[in-house]
Amino acid sequence: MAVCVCVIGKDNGPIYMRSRSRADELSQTVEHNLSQMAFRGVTANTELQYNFIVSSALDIIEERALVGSSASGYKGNPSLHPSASGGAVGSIDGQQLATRELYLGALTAREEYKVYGYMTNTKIKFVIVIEETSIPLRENDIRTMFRKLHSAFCDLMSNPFYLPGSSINSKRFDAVVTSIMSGQ
Amino acid sequence: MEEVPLKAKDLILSSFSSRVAVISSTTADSLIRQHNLNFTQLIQPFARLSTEASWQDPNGLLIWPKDISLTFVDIGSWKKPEVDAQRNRRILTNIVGQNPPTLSAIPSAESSNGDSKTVELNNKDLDYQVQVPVRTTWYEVWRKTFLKLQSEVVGNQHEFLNHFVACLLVISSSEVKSSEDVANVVGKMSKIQQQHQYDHPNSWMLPSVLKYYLIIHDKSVNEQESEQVYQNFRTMYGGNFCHMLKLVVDEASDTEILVPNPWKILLLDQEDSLIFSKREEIDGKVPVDEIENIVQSDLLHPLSPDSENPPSVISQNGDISNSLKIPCNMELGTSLTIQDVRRIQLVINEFISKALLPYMERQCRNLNESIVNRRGMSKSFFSATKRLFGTSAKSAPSVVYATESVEILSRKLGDIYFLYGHYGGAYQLYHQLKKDFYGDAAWLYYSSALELAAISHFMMSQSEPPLAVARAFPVHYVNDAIGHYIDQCRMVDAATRCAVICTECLKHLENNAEAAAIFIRMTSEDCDLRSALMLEQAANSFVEMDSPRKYALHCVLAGYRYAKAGLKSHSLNCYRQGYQIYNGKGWRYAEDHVNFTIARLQNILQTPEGITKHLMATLVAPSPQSSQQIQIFYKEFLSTMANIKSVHEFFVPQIKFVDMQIRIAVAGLPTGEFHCSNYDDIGASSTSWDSLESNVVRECIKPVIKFKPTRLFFSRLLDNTVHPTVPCDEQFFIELPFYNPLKIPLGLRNITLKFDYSDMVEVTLVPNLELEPEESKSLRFSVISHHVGMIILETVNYELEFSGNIVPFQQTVVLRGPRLNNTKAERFGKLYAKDLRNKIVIINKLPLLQANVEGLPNALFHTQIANFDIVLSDNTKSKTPDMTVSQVIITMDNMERAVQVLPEQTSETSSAFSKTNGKNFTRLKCEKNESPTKIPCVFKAPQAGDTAELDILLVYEILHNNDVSKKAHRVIRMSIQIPLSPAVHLEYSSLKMLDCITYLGLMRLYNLTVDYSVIISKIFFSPSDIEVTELCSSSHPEVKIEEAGIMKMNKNESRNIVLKFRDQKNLLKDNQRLTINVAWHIAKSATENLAVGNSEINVSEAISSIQSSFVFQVKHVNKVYADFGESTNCTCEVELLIHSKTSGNFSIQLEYNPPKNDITLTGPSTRASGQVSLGGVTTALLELQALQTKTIKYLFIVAWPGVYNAAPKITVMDEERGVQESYSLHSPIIFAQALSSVPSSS
Repeated sequence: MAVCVCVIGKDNGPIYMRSRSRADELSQTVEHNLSQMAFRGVTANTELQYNFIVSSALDIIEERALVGSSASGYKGNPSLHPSASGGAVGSIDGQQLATRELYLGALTAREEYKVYGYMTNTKIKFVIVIEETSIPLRENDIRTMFRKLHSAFCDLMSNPFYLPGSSINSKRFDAVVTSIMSGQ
Repeated sequence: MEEVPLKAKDLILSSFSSRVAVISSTTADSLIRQHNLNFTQLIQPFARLSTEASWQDPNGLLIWPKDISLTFVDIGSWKKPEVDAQRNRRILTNIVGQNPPTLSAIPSAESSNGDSKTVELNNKDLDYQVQVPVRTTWYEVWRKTFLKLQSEVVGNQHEFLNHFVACLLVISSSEVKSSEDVANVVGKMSKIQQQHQYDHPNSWMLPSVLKYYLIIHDKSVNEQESEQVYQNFRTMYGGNFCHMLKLVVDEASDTEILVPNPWKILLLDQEDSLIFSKREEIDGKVPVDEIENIVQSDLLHPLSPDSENPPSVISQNGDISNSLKIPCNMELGTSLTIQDVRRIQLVINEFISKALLPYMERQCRNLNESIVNRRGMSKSFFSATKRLFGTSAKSAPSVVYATESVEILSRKLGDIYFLYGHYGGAYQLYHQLKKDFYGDAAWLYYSSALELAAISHFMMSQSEPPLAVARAFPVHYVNDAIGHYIDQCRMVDAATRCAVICTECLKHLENNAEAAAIFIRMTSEDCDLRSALMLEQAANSFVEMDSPRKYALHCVLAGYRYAKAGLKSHSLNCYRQGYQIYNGKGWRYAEDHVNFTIARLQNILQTPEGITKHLMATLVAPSPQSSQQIQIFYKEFLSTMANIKSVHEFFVPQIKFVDMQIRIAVAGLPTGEFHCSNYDDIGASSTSWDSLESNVVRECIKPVIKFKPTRLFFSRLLDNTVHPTVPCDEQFFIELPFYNPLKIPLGLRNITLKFDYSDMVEVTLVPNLELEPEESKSLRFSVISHHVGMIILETVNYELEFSGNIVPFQQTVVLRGPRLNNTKAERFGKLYAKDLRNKIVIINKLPLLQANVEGLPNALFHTQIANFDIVLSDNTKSKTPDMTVSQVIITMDNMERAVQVLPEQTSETSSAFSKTNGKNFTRLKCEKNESPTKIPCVFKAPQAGDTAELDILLVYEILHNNDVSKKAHRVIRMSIQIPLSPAVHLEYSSLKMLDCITYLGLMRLYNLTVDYSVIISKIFFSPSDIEVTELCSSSHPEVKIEEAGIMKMNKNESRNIVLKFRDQKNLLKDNQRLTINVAWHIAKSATENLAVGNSEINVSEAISSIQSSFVFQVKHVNKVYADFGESTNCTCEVELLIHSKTSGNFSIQLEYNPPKNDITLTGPSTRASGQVSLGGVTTALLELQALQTKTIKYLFIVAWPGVYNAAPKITVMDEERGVQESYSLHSPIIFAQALSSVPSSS
């Protein structure tokens, strides 16, 4: 079960973060206020925990991305490639770049969590933290989650009123994240 | 301690130097004392081989060691140092504290003082520009001191690097005149040496000790004699083991003074320990405090937001020791000349090359021999068996080897190789040893061998020419060694030494990742200082690795540990390093922690520069932090700001200047907090006011040059490109909403507005405003300006109060109009309209009238007519005698229909006005000035609606007495809302169907009027096709039909009414607009009504919700005539009326039910027989139209005339629609004897 979904912008700052604790808090009714008060400290702590997990996952993403880019060769404009002798080489490079695997796989595994990463071609990173349960999730399920998240993000980017790089505040995106977090 | 940072190689060489014992005779000692030095001090700065020397290893390989250095220790005064971890820890803390980082510049600022460099991190993606300190001097000093303290630990059995290898006997030439003296003195000294070796056998490397004789020339003896003594020694002990040192002690010598003084460093080095011992003597309590300080801070995770830094006792690092610094201006060896220095150096060189190295060469040969001998035996025998069985039997960690065992001898040999530059040989030996030790599970020996193997490997790779190195630097050796040191041996200090040296090697080899890993490995809970230093070094390694986030994280972790160790400025430095990365990246938890901690540390260190910025950053909303945490931030912020004596710009609470409202020419509004309901309503109707004003001015105040509507109200939605214009000395109001964005309550004090002409403008002061979390409240300020011209609202000033701190703040007024989008340029650029609400134009004084309404009822009924007065009063604050109000014009939309200005009362002889009526306005010429003046008016309420709105505009013309051409006008807008209601309210309590067309309703009527009786003239339905058939009232059985209406209700009376109505055309169902109406009027007199109205109630929902079971109505004709005369059983024909609501084909089936009762008592009961017949069949088919009634006849047999309850069961079926209804008709039928004269009804 996904407990935390985070979108990280180009400059490595979080632009969207939702964790289970917060979602729970929202869904809780007023009746539970008292017990909620008692757990508030815990909630803040877990949220901090997720913050930390995601932030440290960024380093691993960077390493993975570096490996990916070095495998695909020169990363910039193909025509500026020092060894690019002609258009053919450039095009091959470009093709490789385009087919770079966006899904980065499991980043870290802790006792309670597994962290998975995904990076779009525009360097937007998605991180999903998954709670370790008895039922292991298949790789395919995780890929599906990321694909869903990516398409939701694309929809968001298509919104002319969304300023790229600003923090995400969209009901639609929220709904997708909710569905991911509830495991549907 | 200005030193160049040591390179890895130099570090190793200086860390591992062989120790030489020194025994000096008292006479020799006193000779040296003349230079304020003792002998070890005298020679220590030169204890390094400065010439080429060589030796041969047992295999005949020639070794040219470079930079052999020695450490001289006077064993006369030497005592075994107590291994006191606490003391060492204090010394180290102190040493670090004395080397604080430079905190002068905030890291983000451009600083060029050479302490830091700008590094572009992660330049593939983004440019993190980070200022990184070039050197961490405190680390270097710590490392040096730490290694020195470590090297003083003697008696190790697992390594022999710090053991004494030789003994230097220092003898004055004056005390050995004869050879007896020589034997005597030397014998005495040898005894001391032997005693020492006996007492501390573990501090000498080899049993046979090299003795070297140094004769110091004494001036009291002439040179020949000294020379004689020297020669004696040479013959006695061999030329290679003796030397004579002649020091020219001559004050008058003109030789140049040594610059720099080589003993200075020595002095500084010793200072620290000296200070420390002094300090302990002076005050035994200070260190205790310090320890407490270290211990006291509980171990919180630095990432946890609640972690607070331990309140420190020591404010400035190393302050105490500074005050204790002893005067060290002793002239050290200044009387020594360069020649002397050269001579001393020569002694060392001679000692090393002639005596020490040959000695070592011999020892190596010996050791090697014995190793080969022993190994030859053991290898084949013991080791082999050990290999077979030993590994599984892990012996206790404290394996002790015999002094003469192969392992120890090999180790000694290895250490000698290592100390004297034969790194290749050393590496091989260590490499071999580690295997042996591993097999024996002798972990301490194993770790040490690993460590030295790694270092030898490094030295091999660094030597010139580089030796062939098989593999890369064995990092796994280092990790393994550290692991075993810590886990098996619990020798953290040994592990630290290994880490410190090996990380330097790794850094030299540019393997920063491994270096960082080792640094992080060395952090632990037990020592904050070491952990802090290690984390900081790890962070610096991450810089080299180009990974900014790790750098920042470890900086912060290091800062936290520094704070726990009580080193605040180091901590602050680290946090600032981390801040460079964390700032503005969106990781709020981390950012807040860093900002807050920096502020706390700055508070403690009393460096307020930039502290405001850090604290304000923690309060930026929205914040994910809990309210408790924000409260902590807020408290810290205010208590800090209370110490800074200036008014700061602050963004809490958020003052929404865009929602600023200005009200002009209204009097008597309360200032302070007010409840603002509808900001937008007022703005919407302003255009109609403007057009009214424009009409009136055009018609009544003739010379219109350029009409501009008067603006009395400014808000966000209105046009703000004109300046608010207010006459001088007149009160106007500014309203501002205050929003609290934080999750904690805010207390504001003394809120006021500040204008540029602050001494000419009076502004009310709002003493208090309490804002709950995320609450918005509006404040109204009254402003009076005595300055004519433009005044500009500059700032809002207020004070924030929290737990006793009251701190003043201000917010600058920033106003910007809406974004423009009309022209192409505006669409492409970002252009905003002007907003001039804060720039108020003050014009010359004008009279001000105020209008009130008197006598208007609080509520009106529809079409009610009410009399009221408009009361005009002069409200001018300061009199304007040269101006008069010449006319007043009352106007409103649709004025004829609603408001009428009444003609003057005849009783009043004199009137203030002469009246002229115009279209939609009434013009009153002022003839007399009196205040207040009443203008009587009449208002007629509209026929419908909930409220009546009276928007009356009063325009008054102002004439200057001396200048008729100067005309001005002002306006008063009166907006009155009066609730309207009908006089009668009606409700229904029940509605039901009597039959398929007739309904019964129970209604209740209320007379809402308090003062009047209401006459109900009619109750009717709309649509009007539905007719009311019967009507009766509950309270009076008969409705008294009056000429004007059907009933009269007294005041406050309510009445129940039963209403029967018929829906002939089936209009009731599915009619959404079905209402019951009550027409009423309130009579004022016989002919005149006060109010006429119509109350209605929508009953369509109630009607449609009636569950109608009546599709059909089945009914008997209730009298049947038959001739009973002839027989007892008479067959009567009974008529059954069937009425249907819908059209269709129905089959009607009759079943016989025996008549229940014979109602009449005239005949025998139950005479009717059981036969019902519809002409032979029991089912009839019938075609009916909707709402049509048809008759079917059936036969019924009765015996006697009388009243029968004939109750056949009738089933009506509609097969098309599948409707089936059954009735048992219990309708009494009278069967009567048909008289001959009366024909039976057909």
